Amino acid sequence: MSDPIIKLDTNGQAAVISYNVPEPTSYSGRNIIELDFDEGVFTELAKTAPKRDEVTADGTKSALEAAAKTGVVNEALLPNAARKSLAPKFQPMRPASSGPSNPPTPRRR
Amino acid sequence: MPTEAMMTKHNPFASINIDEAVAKAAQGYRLNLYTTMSGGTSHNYLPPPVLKPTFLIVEEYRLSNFLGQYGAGRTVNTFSLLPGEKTTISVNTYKRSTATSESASSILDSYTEEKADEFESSVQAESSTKTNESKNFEYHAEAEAKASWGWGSAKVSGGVSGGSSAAREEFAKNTSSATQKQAASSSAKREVAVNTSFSSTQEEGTETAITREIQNINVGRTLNFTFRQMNQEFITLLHLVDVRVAFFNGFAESKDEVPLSQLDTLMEKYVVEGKRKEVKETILAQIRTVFDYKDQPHEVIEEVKRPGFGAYWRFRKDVVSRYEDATTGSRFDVPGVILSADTTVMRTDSLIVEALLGQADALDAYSRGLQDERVEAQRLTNRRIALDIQLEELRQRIVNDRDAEAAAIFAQVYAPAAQGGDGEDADGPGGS
Repeated sequence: MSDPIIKLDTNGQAAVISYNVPEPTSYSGRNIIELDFDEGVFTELAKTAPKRDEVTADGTKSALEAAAKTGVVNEALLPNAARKSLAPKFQPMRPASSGPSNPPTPRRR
Repeated sequence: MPTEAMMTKHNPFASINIDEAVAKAAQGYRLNLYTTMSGGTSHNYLPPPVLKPTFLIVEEYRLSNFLGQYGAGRTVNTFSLLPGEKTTISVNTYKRSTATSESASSILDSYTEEKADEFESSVQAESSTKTNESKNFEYHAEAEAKASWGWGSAKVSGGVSGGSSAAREEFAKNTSSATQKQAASSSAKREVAVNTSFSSTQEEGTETAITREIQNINVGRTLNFTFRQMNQEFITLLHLVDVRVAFFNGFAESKDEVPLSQLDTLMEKYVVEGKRKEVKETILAQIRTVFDYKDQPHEVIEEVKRPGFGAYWRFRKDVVSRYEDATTGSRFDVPGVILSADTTVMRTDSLIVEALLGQADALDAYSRGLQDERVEAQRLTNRRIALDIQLEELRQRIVNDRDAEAAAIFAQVYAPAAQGGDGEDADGPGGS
């Protein structure tokens, strides 16, 4: 006769049922503390603002109308919206000799 | 190939009111998309950022909830049944309808996207000034960004120390406050009603959750029922589980966030050569010691030195904090350092009922006499049955012992009665 498809280990140890097993629910969040350093400690790169297109009513309208159809938005005009979009981003190319580049923006994985 | 319908569904721009965005753009505000705590996408409008280079301590927290005590709370309903009376009761709870169930949910014991996002907004509102709120959204303008609950600041120039501890304490207080507010608001909406067949007015279209028929089987006293709603206590711990560092100059594009082990990389990139050591030490000093909810200091970072791999800083892996509930003796171990510990009591949809027998006797002397005689008759019947059992036991003992002398006596004393009296005694006038 073949073995049953499941059986208990004769030398096994039974699980102990506890009287109280709390079920925790957990949420993750972040707190940011800004450290107020003197500006003199920073390099020129740190003190360089990234290049953004001037925000205008007409530019915003046309950018959003296009984005509503394609999911792609002009990053130089609406950088905070483009970085949230899951669509590919198009960033204007800058000539190599145009001065300090923007600080890199690494993406966490 | 995505269809047009899929593009609309997953395209965060499809739901944006373009007229509103245009009006905001005329005031210099740019559209900002951000990820909510529940993982959804929402948007707002941000003013032009102010260029101000700075380093940030990015603290990762967990808000963990554990079960505490459980017990009876407020009285929901009381009613009485007269002797012999029957009624039907029904129980309606806030969970019977989707609308009330959603409004009564909370982050402590259930999860809805609305409540998670509401909590996030609430804790941000507690902790942020308008300027900090803009910076916070500007910093978190990334698809992978985690929920941000607070933005504080600490002055470090001029040898000032302890600023981050104060900011951390303020954050813990604000988070605790937001949690308590939501719990109180949700708990207040947790209505449970007990209706009886003589008090309920059944509305058209409603349905009752539980229906039961109950009866007072007593003949002389009322039976009083007290229904109480059960309450659950929650223990909420806010604990710091990791620390990262970042550079940020006010613009989303400048965000450069790294783990502590890469602090030197940030220094090389953003700090002038002669100041790197000083700035690094200042940042580490602000992170090194964290005070828990009992104001006890904890060293949370350590320098790891491995031969051949150099040295780096990291958040200690062995930091575990224990919270002990004084009332129940329960102990909860959580990673990191506990910054706040609160207990919150929430109403639940469960009921407990207690039946109390009325003290006054509702029978007159005649009725009481009838009741007493009936009890006496039942008592005598029981006694007769007990004697019959004893007799049978005696009979078996005599047979087992082969006791001829006892058998003779038994036959002389009991046999005639047993043979002739069984039917008479059982069915006689005194038997019923």
